[in-house]
Amino acid sequence: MNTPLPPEEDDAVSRRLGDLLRAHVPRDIEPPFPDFFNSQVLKKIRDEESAAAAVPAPLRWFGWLRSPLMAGACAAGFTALALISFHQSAEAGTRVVTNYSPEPNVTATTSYNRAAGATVIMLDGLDAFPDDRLVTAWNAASEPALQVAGIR
Amino acid sequence: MNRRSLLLALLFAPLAAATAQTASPPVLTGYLFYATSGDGSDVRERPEDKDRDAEKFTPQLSKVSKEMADKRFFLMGRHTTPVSERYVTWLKPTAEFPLEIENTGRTRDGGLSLFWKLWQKEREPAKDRELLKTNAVLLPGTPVIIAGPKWRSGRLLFVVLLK
Repeated sequence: MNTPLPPEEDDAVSRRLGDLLRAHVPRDIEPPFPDFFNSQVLKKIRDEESAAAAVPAPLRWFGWLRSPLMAGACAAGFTALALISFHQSAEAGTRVVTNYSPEPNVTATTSYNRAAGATVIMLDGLDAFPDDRLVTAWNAASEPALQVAGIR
Repeated sequence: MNRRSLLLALLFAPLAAATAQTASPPVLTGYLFYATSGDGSDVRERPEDKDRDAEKFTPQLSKVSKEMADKRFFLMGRHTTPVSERYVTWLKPTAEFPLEIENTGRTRDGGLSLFWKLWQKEREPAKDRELLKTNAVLLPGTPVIIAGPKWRSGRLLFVVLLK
């Protein structure tokens, strides 16, 4: 529970959760403020995980620590954990937990592109942005000052 | 400054720097790229925008999909801003496609958990469209690339990076 899941498993869990919600929540009920609802659910999960991590181990475990063999075992264990943790953090990286487009004909697909070294969200089915519209770009730190990306 | 005060300053400088670092809010940078098979004559790339980050992204962007493999990438906008813990933060590498960001906290692996909406501004504000809603955990240095709408002879790409 406390170990971050790899992106593939994370996606599978998200999909299963989505299936469960779809199976049990009537489709004709529109949840109020869905964005806020989603972010609060995620926040609650993180809070519970943090609280679980902060619970001290029961006292009876300290008995094991008194064993002389425990020093070597602990050293080996910590080394293994450090290696696993390093491996996972290198694999996990930035991840997209949930992703969707409210536009009716648009699909948003997420993947981790190893070659690009980045998480990629593809928006397919979007209407093209009108050619006659300008794209005005910002170039600033903190407080943006408008500049026009000179469109010919 | 005498020797004693210089010594004290040297001793406490790392501590002060570490304190400042832990207290500073996370910083996001958003980039807007125009990917095209053309020569970019339908936009004007501004030389002052050719920073090291942008040059670094070009090889990454070309690997996003087969469509992008033979494209040229023109940096059109960039915006760097700290992310508020209490309020909505707007990331605007372009005025037409702002990113509305809610900071939902730090994860245990040092990531920054965010909920964002990618908007497309229309001529009438009441008709602004939400293109995308995302819950993501960003780690420093590994970007999220969003392949957005087609425009003119190419496509708009957005890059969100946690510094």
